[in-house]
Amino acid sequence: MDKQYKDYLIGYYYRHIEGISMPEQMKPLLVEVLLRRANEFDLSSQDIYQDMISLCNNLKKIEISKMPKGYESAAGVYMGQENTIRIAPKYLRQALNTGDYETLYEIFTHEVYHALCADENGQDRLVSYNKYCNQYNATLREAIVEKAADRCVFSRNPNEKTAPYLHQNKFGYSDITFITDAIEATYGVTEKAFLKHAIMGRDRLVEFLASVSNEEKAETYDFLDRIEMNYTRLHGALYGKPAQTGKVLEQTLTDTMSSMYIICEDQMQKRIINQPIEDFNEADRCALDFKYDHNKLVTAMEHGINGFGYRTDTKKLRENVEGRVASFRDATISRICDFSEVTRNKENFESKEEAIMLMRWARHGNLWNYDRESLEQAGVQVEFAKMFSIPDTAKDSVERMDFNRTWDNQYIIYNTYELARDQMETSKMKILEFKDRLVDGIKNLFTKQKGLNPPSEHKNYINLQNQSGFMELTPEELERFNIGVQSVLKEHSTSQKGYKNPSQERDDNII
Amino acid sequence: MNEKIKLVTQVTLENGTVYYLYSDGNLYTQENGKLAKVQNLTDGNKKIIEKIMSLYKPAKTDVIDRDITGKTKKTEEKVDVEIPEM
Repeated sequence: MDKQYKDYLIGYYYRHIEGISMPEQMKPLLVEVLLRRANEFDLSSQDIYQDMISLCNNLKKIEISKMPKGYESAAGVYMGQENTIRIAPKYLRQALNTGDYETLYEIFTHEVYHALCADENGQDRLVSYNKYCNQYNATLREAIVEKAADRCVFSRNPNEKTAPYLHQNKFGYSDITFITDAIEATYGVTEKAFLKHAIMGRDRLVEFLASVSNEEKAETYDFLDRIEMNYTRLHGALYGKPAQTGKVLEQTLTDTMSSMYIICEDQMQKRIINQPIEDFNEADRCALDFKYDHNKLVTAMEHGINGFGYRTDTKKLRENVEGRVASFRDATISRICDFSEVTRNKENFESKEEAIMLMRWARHGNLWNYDRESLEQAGVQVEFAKMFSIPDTAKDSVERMDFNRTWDNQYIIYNTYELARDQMETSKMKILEFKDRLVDGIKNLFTKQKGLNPPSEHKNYINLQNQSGFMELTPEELERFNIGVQSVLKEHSTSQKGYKNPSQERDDNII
Repeated sequence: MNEKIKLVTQVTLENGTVYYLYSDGNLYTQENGKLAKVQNLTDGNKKIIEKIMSLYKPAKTDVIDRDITGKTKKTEEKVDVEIPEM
């Protein structure tokens, strides 16, 4: 996005959020949410227009206030009938305590995205009617909204060994957002492309997925309905009140994970058949893409299973899922292998037509019906169910480059801090006890020492920390101070349940 | 089985029986390693179906009161929005 357009959009957004009641410090944060969304997902002016229609007609108030009854553990909620976003004060306190303002901003982004989901009549564009369970699909939208919000807040390293596009979300629903990765792999699209369409509504997503896979839109709706039915059950088991445990949870995880896995395998087989192949060069590329996408699917599902480690025995779960999925997965792999073999030896056939025909046979899983002798003469080895490793293909590079951007969050940190501090001082937020503040101050100093928030990167944030009353110490003073408060810190860490690590947070992280 | 019939979901009951719901709307179970349609809709089977379908009600999310029932909101004055420049 060029600077001129960015400046124009900033003015455009400010003009339209005038009517929304919110703390003053929140306005630049809201504009940043909108700007990042437009920039990250390359939204057209029509999309931006739709976003503004959604926002202006579905958001009248943003407040820091106690969560409604029944949602006490949520970090934030969007209340459609009241056109209101509410953020839980405890997450502002937590940001002040830990210095992690990005998570607070991500929660805010998530809720704003919910407001943006609705059309001018208040109907959620990410929701559709599920013909199989006669319910409205309302769960996949959480994964989409969370994945998109996470992408627009937290930076990812494009060179990390575990592919950045299989990244687990930092905060909300981090155990179940693998589903977007699985769908992306099934359809062979990048996370960015998937989210770009998904955040604009179910119809847009279906239109996009149907177009890339050469299928009828009705089939894509059907695929998403089947996925969503299982995903809803999975979500309910993990986040319902009460959440499932023990044997019941184990069975639910087995049922839902294996069902979604089979549905994706089945859909991928169909996509392989539907892929139009006009010439040999295209066939080579398709063979690589199929391998790559299938590996991504397998890895995404594996990530999904591993992500339940905090609730169940993943080794057993993996075995159970494997038992149900293996034959479906092998059928996909076998087709890809056969197709790849024919493609690799395409020049050895008597005619181009024969090679193209055999590619078709392979994609339908029928190559083993063909004359074995002819295949062997052409050098084709019909093998069964090989596993691939993700090849270093151009497609992988493209996906990695998707993340070749580091967010400069100084602005966010500065404004979120201002917001949290102001709310702390002027609102009904409970002022932390002195001991808590002392420990938090020390924790922040430790964090600085470890270089996690180096002054060069977060200058504003550090300065503001100092303004907030925490002492500025020399290394020697710090050392003496550390020794003096070790006991307080120790006592604090054993007596208070705060400062959980992300995996411990999951129960509470219903954003 | 017809190739167009697709798996929708699987449900394991307490007794370990796995039921498969396919896109033709029928329930199947495994008999001798093959899928067999649950043919007779006895009261027992109907209860199983009711139980299975009850598993798919959405749990709470962070979106409250959003109208997802297909009805539109009560009429409110729509807010005018500028079309952004390219």
